[in-house]
Amino acid sequence: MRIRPTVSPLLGQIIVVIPALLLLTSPPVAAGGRGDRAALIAGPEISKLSTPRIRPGSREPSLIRNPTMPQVQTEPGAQAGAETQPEKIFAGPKDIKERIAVYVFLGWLWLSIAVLIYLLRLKIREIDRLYDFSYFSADPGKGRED
Amino acid sequence: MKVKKLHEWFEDRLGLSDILGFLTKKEIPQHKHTIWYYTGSAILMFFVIQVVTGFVLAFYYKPTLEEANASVARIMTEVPMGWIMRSVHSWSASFMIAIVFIHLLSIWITKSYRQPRELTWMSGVFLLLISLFFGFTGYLLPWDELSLSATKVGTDIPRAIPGVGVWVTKLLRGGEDVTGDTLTRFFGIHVSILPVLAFLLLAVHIFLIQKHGISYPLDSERQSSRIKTIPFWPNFVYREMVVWLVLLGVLLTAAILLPNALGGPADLMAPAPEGIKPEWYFLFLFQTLKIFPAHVIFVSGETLAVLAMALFLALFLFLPFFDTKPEERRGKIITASAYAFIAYAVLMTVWSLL
Repeated sequence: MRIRPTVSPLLGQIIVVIPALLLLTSPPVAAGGRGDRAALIAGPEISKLSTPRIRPGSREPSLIRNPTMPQVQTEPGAQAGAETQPEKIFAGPKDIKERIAVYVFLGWLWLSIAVLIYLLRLKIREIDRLYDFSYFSADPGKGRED
Repeated sequence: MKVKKLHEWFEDRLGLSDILGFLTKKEIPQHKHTIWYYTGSAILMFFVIQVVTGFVLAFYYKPTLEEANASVARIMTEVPMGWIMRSVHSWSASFMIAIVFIHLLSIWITKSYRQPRELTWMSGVFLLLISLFFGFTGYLLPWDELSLSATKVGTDIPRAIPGVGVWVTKLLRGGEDVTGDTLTRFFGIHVSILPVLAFLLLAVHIFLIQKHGISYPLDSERQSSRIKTIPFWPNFVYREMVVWLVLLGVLLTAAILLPNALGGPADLMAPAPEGIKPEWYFLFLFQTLKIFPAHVIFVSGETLAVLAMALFLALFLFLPFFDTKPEERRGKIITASAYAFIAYAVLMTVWSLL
């Protein structure tokens, strides 16, 4: 006996092709590795608090506008680390393969959700109908009071 | 035959049919406010997602000054699908808090906290506070510049409380300033104290809901009209499943398409960066602090703002005790104040974002 596929090949192609098109039009996401960040933040000894940068004309609450902000005692190693501009890591798929996989997954996810909601809707109709004529009730006639 | 025996074995020990019987007898009213009933289970769903993704993240996260930021970077770049896990954790926190707010506001507006449900309401308010504290403690864990600065601001706010303020700030920080000790402390609170409290309060909250049943809307009680009901199991649970599926889809889509970035490691000596902002659910409080004048007569503006917030929280917590006659003028004012609060929170949040 031949088993028919649940999703047609055309639908499968649509699910793969649309995310791929989206992918080509969307900006690239950087997701690189990073070095040892421990060196950047190693061992600062805090005894006072640091002075904040305040935007002209803006009022920041509490600590930001407090003129007696804590100062920090810097150490040579930590000072060197502070001068280095730390990079920001953007999350996202690492390469094109992973990106396609992620978009295909999203396509399948929503398709599965749509199918499941359709099935649940059928089920809800059925159980509501059964409840209406007290199918499960020990006391016939005690159904939903409309 | 074997399945039947297995079923009987479990039935003898757990009495599952009694539980199922209870759930079948439990009835859910069907009316124009029924949609708000779905928010409770949605919160529970997001909480479970938080717990599961939190466990996974805890396998890789290291709560030390040297390794916190690097370990989050490792989760995002080296752990397979680690970035999705972190993104789902973060997004589900936002979704959960949003729905907790909606849940409480819907109860406030429909006055579902009426006698004898005062304790149910109070446990819900405490759960909201726990959710917010989850968000606050979790925000520091990536240990990037933004989280450090926001935590400095956040933990400095209690300082304005007269008498105990300085002590509370020190208790939160584990010292005078936000340091590695604060990070370890926040991690401990985030993964041990808050989950235990949340589970306990959740158990109390659910028990009280089961004890008193689902609240009927005030207008239907007033008209003494009979409301349609459906059994909790399976009719209402199937409907809830539809909501869970949609929310799960939205959560995963948001987590994948809009993942959270990670800033560089926090530098304890660096000045506070410009435009520090907390998570969106604290923005209205943040803006409230900003609009208060520096001094009002002899009192600091911050002290006044913090005291005003504490007063509002106390009123919010004991709301059912003030709203004893919901049909009278006072009851209507309390309902109107719910809409006023929503308008204020939205306005302040938008203002803070501008």
